[in-house]
Amino acid sequence: MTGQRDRAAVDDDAGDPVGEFAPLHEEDAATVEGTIRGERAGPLAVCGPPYGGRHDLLERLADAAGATYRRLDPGADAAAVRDALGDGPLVVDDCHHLYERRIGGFDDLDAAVRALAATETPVVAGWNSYAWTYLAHVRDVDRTFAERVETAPASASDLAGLLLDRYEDLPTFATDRTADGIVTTRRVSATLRGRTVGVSIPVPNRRVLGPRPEGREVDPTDVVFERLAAVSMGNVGVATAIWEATRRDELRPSDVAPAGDGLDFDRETAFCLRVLLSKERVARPELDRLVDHATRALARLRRADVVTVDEGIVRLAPAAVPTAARETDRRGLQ
Amino acid sequence: MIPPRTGLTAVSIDPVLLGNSVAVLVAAYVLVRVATGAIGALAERVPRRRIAIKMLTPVVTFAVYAGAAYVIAGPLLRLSSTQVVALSGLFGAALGFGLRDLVAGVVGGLVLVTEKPYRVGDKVEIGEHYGEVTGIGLRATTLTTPNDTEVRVPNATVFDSNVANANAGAPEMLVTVDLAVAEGADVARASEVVADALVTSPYVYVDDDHPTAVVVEDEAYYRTVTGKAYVADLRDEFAFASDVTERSLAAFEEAGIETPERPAERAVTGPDDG
Repeated sequence: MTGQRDRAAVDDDAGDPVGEFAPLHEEDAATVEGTIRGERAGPLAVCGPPYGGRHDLLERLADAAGATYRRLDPGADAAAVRDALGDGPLVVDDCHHLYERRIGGFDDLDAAVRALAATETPVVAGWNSYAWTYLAHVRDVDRTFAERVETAPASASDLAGLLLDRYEDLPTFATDRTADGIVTTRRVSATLRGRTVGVSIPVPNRRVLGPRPEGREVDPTDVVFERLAAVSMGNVGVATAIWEATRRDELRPSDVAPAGDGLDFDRETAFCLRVLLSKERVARPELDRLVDHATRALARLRRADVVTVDEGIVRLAPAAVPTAARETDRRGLQ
Repeated sequence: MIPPRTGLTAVSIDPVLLGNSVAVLVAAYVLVRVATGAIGALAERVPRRRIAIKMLTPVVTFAVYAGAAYVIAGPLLRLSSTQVVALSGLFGAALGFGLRDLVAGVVGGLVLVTEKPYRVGDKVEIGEHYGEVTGIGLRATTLTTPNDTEVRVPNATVFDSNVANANAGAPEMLVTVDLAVAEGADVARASEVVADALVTSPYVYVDDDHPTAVVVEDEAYYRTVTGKAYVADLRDEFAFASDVTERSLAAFEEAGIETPERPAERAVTGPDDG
């Protein structure tokens, strides 16, 4: 469990969608900074879900420590990593672009990982957590890295603080007309066999079961943000996107839903979603190689606002990350 | 005329009671259909727990029909101990002559429910039949073969046949894919291709408990590269095998890895031909 630890303090960045929120616990941030400064041996992996704030965090930590920050793009090869290793301490993000899910598609990843294992240069590598889990099983990438840290999910109060400060025209918060259940869910991080996963666990709804002080009602704002934290899995970028998509004059918890919620995806569309969930940005030709009937699947996903396509790059919409995660986990896709 | 003395008292059947019994049977049938339908629908909503949920189907079926039999037999027959003994004798004789197979099937069904050598949703081989278990009834188990043929295997078969269960209740299942390469082909490269094909398939399921493996075997005139990996849903067994085979063969061709010649070609271009 990681929910009780203090968060790292980072400088504010006006252009940063994550704002002051630091999706990393204090000791994990110290591990990253120590690695960049060369105080800890071996490369470090920092894993996080899409839009969870990993990029901004690593970029700021790299700036603060005077390290080079490189963000890989779709189709990146091993040379992009090898070349950057000569420039001193390195933070290389989006390492999941080094592989393609096809026969022979791991060659660049293997070469880059070998280079990272052999270098004396302090290196921090950022990975999509879904891709990391897959690669740890099929390529043993976890054996190359001395240590791994996971970005931390935001709590409901974190999200409330972040979003209420950012917007001036706030909605009127209201509770749903139906009564609250006696059981609700809480998102926690659990570590199993060295891997950290987010799990929703049922807990008694203290708001319903606990004593209520006279004249004091449940704050609908709290309920809405608890729902937002649960739906977004504590992912700040995802929560922001869902918030922006669902804002209206009056906002109820049941209004908070991810994009594509309730859609029934076929197998090929679900696999397309998994590829996008693992790689965040995928070049269209790559998707054509990996997914049968990719055009049909993409058309459907675009209509449902689950993906966007811009200049040949397909992106999973931030608000659709929970849908993609739920639908592909349900099917056991990796 | 005075009826002969038989030692048995006459059993009077109340038409209302008979009607109630029929109603109970119909209700049991409807309840079983509704319950099994609901279980099936729920199982499809949660593919990862599909087999565990479908396991409830035979249990519910047995429970409902047993309950119905109890409800009917009690008031309808109202048997005395003498009648029970007499009927037991008749039942024993009937078993010996005609109902032995039926009863063996029912007992086999009870064994299936209690020992669970396989469950609804499992991929099994019973005797010479291979397929997915799509139903476990009172008398027989229904298998759906890869060719979509339904085979009804008597439950009593579990007493005298080997039962091979490919997944034992788990949604994942190990699938093996055999690919042959020529004797002189680059086997190491072929193994890499097959290993990549396994882990890049959309159907694969890999974790510490479900690893992949590639095994090379030397045959008389060729070598077999066998890929082994789990699929996330056992219903994807053949789709996975087809996907891996198709992409591996394409990669073999691209990499110049030769597949074995047909025997006729081998004879024509053998070493004696110089």
